[in-house]
Amino acid sequence: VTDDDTCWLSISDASALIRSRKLSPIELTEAILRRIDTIEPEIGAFVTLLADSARESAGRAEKEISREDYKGALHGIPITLKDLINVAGVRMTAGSRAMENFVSTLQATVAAKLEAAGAILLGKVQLDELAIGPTTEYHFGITRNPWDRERLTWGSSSGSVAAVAAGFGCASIGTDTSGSIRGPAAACGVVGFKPTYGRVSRYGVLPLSWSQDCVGPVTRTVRDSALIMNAVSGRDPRDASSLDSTVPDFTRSLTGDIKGCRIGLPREFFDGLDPEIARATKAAVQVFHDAGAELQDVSFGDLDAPRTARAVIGLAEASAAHKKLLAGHAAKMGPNVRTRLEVGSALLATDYIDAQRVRSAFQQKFSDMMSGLDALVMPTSPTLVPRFDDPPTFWSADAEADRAASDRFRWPFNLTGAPAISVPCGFTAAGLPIGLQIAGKPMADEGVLQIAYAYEQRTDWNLRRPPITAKERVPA
Amino acid sequence: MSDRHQRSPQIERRPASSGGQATPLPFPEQMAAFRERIIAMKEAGIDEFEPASVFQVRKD
Repeated sequence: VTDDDTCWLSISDASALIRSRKLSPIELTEAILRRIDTIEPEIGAFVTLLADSARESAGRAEKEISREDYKGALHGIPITLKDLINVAGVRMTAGSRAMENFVSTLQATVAAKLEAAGAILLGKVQLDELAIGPTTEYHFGITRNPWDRERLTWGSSSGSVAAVAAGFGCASIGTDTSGSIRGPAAACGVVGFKPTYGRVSRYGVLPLSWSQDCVGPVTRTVRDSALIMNAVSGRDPRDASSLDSTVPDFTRSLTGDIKGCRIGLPREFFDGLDPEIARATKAAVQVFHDAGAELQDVSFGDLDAPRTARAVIGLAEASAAHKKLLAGHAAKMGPNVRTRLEVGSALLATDYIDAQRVRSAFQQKFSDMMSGLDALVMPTSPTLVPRFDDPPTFWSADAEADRAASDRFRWPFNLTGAPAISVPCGFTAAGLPIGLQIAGKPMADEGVLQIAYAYEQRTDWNLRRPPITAKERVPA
Repeated sequence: MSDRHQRSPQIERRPASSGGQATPLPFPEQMAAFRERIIAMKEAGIDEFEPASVFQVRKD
């Protein structure tokens, strides 16, 4: 088995090999560290690489497993964390110069759960500044799309998707407030899952929008996302928003069978698509049809008011969350980030309350629309990820520009708290990945994973690897 | 991962030297445009709705 093979192992496959002692956590970790050492300068996924402690953790995992103290599917599995998740004793920048010297003193619940499950932390990875900044204003170097280094990864979980797409670990943990896991996952050809709001504790995760932030996995397969969810989900008394519900075995629904599933196709999300995204999505819909799903045309109706509500809520909560940082370190922030936070500060309390009222109405409408459905299927993004030399406009107060924004298919599931996943569903002629989004009702995480898994089993898009090294650039 | 305080990261990417420049504030034109959107939002038939709890997800 070569390093190349080892670095691309899924969690499922790696854990089976580790458990049967055919692969040691040390071998797996060292292979990935060699790959990082070789090609990380071309990708720029890491803010802080923790090679020494990863080696120590791998050694510890190997000893534990050798004495039959096997903790489960994540034991000995190398992962990364978005650099807004606190890990005690490790620097946390949140992608901002305003926090460049901050060292965490607390441990985020998600980090603690992964540690308890035996996962190996390779390092902290890049993000858009404070998870709200534009993808082109990095303070700690540029993160490049592994499929085309002249292009963005999208954000804000840029390092998480770049790392998983480049073979730097089996999984990463990102956050998603307006599509920040799903959008970049689509752009980099990996799986990104935003669970139901409250499924995963946000304790110790730098907030952006308290009522919309979700923590979730970035992986190379749907099953791996389910395995991560098994480890990190559950009630946390330190997070007021965490759901007091039983944690299921998220792999249980992964049967591959979706015969009779009722899938809605929201017509608003099939308009104005890049032609290559339209083609890939149409082919994906056919896969669901062929698998026996029942497809229905559905509509969200007017999205202008909820779109504005989402902007008001997001900006107001971000400004509240970062008011001390804004007061003390505004000059260190990127201009777009500072602008957004200052706009949020200028909103009225009545604006925020009315935005929440619009949100309630939207949640009711969404609930009504979903009452006869198991899931929605749509593109993750209407547009392809741009090149660095042709960056998008980020802050806009203009409704027309907001309607055309790349995240317009993703924020509805943050405003409603619903689960949504992006899975690879094709490539452009130039070799850029395209993502398919599957969303469900709140708490229907298992159903979303079931439908995503069934699609993945009928396609092979997730098996393609980006051409990074000279060997990988040679056509097969 | 019990010895975090002894960690010596192999790579610590330093911030780029640019940044921190004066911020082009969105006032007044952009805020006025955003205010128009907010007014339109408030007219969107929300009278019967109270704001959902910030930390509440509908389970139905």
